[in-house]
Amino acid sequence: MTRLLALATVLALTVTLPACAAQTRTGGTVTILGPWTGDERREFRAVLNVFEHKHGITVYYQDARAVTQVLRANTQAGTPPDVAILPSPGGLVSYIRDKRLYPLDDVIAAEVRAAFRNLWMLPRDGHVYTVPVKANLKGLVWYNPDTIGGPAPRTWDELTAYGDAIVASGGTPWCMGMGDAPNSGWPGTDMIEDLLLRQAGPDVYRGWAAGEIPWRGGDVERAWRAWGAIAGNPRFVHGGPKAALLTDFGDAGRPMFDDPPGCYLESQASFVMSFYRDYGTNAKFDFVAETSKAAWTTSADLAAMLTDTDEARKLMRFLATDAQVLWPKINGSSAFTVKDGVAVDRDPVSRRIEDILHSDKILCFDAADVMPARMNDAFNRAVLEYLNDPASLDTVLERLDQVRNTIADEEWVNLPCS
Amino acid sequence: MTLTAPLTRLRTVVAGRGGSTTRRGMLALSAVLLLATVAVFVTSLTVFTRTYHTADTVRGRTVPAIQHILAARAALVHADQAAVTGFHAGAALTGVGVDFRVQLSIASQSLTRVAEENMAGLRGIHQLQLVGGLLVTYSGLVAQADANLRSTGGVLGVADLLSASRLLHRKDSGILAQLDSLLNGQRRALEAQLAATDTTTGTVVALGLPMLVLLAGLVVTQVFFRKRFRRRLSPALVVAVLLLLALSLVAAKPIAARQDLTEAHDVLSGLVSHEQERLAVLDRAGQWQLRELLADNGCGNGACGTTVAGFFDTTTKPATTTGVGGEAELAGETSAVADHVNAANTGADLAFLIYVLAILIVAAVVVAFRPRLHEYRYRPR
Repeated sequence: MTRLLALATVLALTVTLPACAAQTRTGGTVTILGPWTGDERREFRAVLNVFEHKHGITVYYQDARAVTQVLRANTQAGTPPDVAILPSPGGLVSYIRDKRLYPLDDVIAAEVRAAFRNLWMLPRDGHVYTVPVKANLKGLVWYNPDTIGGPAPRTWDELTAYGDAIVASGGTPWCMGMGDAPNSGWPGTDMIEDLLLRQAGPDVYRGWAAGEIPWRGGDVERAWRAWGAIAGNPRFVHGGPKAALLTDFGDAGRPMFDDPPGCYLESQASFVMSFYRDYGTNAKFDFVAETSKAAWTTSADLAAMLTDTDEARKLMRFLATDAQVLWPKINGSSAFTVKDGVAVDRDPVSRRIEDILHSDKILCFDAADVMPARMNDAFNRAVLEYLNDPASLDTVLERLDQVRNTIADEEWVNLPCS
Repeated sequence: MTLTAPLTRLRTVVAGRGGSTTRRGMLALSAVLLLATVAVFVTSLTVFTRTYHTADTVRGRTVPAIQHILAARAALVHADQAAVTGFHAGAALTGVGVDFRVQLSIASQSLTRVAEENMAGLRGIHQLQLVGGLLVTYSGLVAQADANLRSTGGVLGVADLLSASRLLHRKDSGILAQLDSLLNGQRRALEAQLAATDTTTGTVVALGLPMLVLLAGLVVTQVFFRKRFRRRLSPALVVAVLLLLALSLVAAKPIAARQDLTEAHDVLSGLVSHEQERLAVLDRAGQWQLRELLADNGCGNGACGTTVAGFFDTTTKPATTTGVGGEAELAGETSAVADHVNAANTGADLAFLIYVLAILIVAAVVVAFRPRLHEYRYRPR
């Protein structure tokens, strides 16, 4: 009886002890913060699914158009993602300085790094810190071949003449939209950068992006005035400056496909093709083939590593290799790789963009993205202030110089065009 | 050996035919009773602790997380409306106003609570981090709008306010959409918790079968004692039966608790649905005010571009709020959820009774058998 009692007691204790089921988790997890929403988000998620399948690592992708601000807030809160994708090398410099970014020298193999131009990898103090997940060609002037009304302009002078002709006939030539909270204003900065590059050349452009050249007076002011002659003139912009202020960048090109068109030209980066396709029209689109243009502005979504884990390293390697091919191959994608030796079957318009990105043309990183975050924000804001009051250019440029003068030298990035 | 052989054997033992099996029979019966008691104890305790642990989690974390997300959402809708109202009313003097700042503070505090209560795992944490970052951006945009409307005037302040509102309302990636996704994650967690404590047939059988075996064993033992020892009734075995009945009452409490959790879930689902309807009405009112602010700034008839034209097209004038529950109804539903959740947790502290009653049953069985076994040990064989 006693033995039975003992057996019963042992049984009861054994079964009621908490079951410590060992949770075996293969592969781990990695978090990535990026700017892509909507269709781009779906495309990127498809690329990440390949990574998950290949490595057995779960990827949590957080999307935020306000990616710079969200990263700043989360980093300050002590909860940064493992990998962050930002459009701005200038915005990443402070993270490098604070040792929150890990160099990629021993993460990405040398032969892989060699397939990217230096300007994409954010070289700093002898190390590289970023992988360009996808790139954009900027300063493209888009038009609808069905409404251009004749042969398309081929130079900036022809574009200017074309715009004058539209105005003379009672139309408005330019589509414009600055809205993209919280970074509204960047489409205007893009046009100013492109004008400066055209007018003053790559070296002045580099110096300005590196904080060496003032805003007021000289080449930069000239570029502003050239842009202001279009953007600040209600006859040249669909809806006038007020409409440009209140229109999202993704909606700006819609009137180009209306009947009759509300505008005929849009200066925008290559990614705008995905917006044109989403407008739901069958209208064609193309960009002005400026074959004489020697230097182009570009941008890229740069992936940087904030935690040094095995999973984060694998993801960075994947983004530098497989992802470079996978994303551009997605049907209807407007993603472009800047990695040498990657060939993707594209539609004719996309192929022309790719040819420029891989040609011997001079490519310059978007100046506002190279500038420190505070200067970038001020530049965006200045565009909006100018559109709100086109007579305020002197004041706007003065304030930009004030901001420039308060930024320490070590915060600027010297990123030559290449 | 057939399936009926054990029953035949048991009958032989009880009846005492076929030689002296009394001692062996008593040992066999005592073993059955003790093992059945262990089984009753284990199954009862497992179901009890699992159910009440879930009830405690639902009360302490899951339901509060859902309620705090709703509170954050409501506060942001109010904040957005307050900002627009402030601008409409003449921001030059008052700016966005105190109400905006208060509502934003409520939203932040609510999200802090959600972070403590989050039941949606890592995904929930990441979403909270994202919402937190977006909230900082949103308040910055409104502050910018405020500064512009007080100083420069013009349409720039209105453009900032529109940007802020679009950041809040953007489909899929806006702050409110992110909160909806967070809410759905917590609701899925609640569904999973309830599913794990479901009183299915399997659970009822797992609880009831050992009890029936033990009850049957006690009855059979009672009959065995009467036949072999001429004992009409063993008081100890009667006590064991009563203790088993008491234990079964305690063990059945999780079934009632599970029912309370189901009712809490149903009321909560209704609360979420009503609150979302109420907020949708409030939100439409706020967006209409923004539309009017834009119209006052000359944006009617497509004069301000495609985005504003699209906003005008999709913004509908709000109807009256009759038919949609107000804040009093929300309070009533919240109270009903709390009542059900508290009821589900009533009795959670009775787990010790399962231990006590099981030990007492074992003691009663020992008391019942010991003198008989002792008596039989010294009987000539």
